[in-house]
Amino acid sequence: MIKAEKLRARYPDTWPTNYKLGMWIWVFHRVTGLFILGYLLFHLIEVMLSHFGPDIFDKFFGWGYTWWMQSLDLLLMAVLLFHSMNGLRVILFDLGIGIRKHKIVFASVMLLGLATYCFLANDILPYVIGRELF
Amino acid sequence: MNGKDLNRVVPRPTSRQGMLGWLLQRLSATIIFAIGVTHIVVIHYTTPGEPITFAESIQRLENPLFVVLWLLLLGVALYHVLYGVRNIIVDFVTVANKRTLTQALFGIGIVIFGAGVFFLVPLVIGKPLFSN
Repeated sequence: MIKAEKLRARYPDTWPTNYKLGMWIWVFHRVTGLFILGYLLFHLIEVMLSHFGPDIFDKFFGWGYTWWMQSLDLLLMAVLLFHSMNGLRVILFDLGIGIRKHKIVFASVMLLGLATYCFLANDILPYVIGRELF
Repeated sequence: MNGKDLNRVVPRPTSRQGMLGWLLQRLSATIIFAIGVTHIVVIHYTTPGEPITFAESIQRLENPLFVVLWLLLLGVALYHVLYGVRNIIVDFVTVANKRTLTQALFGIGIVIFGAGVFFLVPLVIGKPLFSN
């Protein structure tokens, strides 16, 4: 069996423990993209329920404000915000903005995403924990 | 250096070089962001705290603007998502014929878009398609 250290020496650029910040962001951008693809298909199936009539449609969407559906919404919002804010960073780089200060740009867009997430979580969390936040 | 030579140095954005795809990926992202935010605000922030209902949905979709917007969102999102999938495949697998891969993903996109249109029909006409 080939030892991990040998593999690491042979493939230094693609070995995960050698990844720097930009590489991890690249990985997470793709992982979150695939997650969003899964959600898009799930969302289409939700809409498909309209073919089974108002009763089944309303029963399913009636679960929308249960704690577990709202927990999934929290996860979805985190994924969507990471993907969109990092996408904003990618577009900024393509326009030549902030390439030399990429860590600061990344921190800035993530802070913007975090602020939006706090705003959304303020609406969602009461349904998850079953009471008003403050 | 005349114009012809310059073209050799600075490639024109054609689909063969992937520049068109690159540009469309950025454009589609911007469109998805704009319509996506509208989608969330219209559906979740007009009646906060109340679950989505069939009656409310058909009432909203009486306005053709929303039908067009939601279908545009689906189409553009599918383009963006499947182009992303293509990028991931091309990165990890040596694809002998990229054109076939693109055509296959395009076909999948058309099928999913068709399904999406079909799924939305009851909410637009106001009743299930196959009810008695």
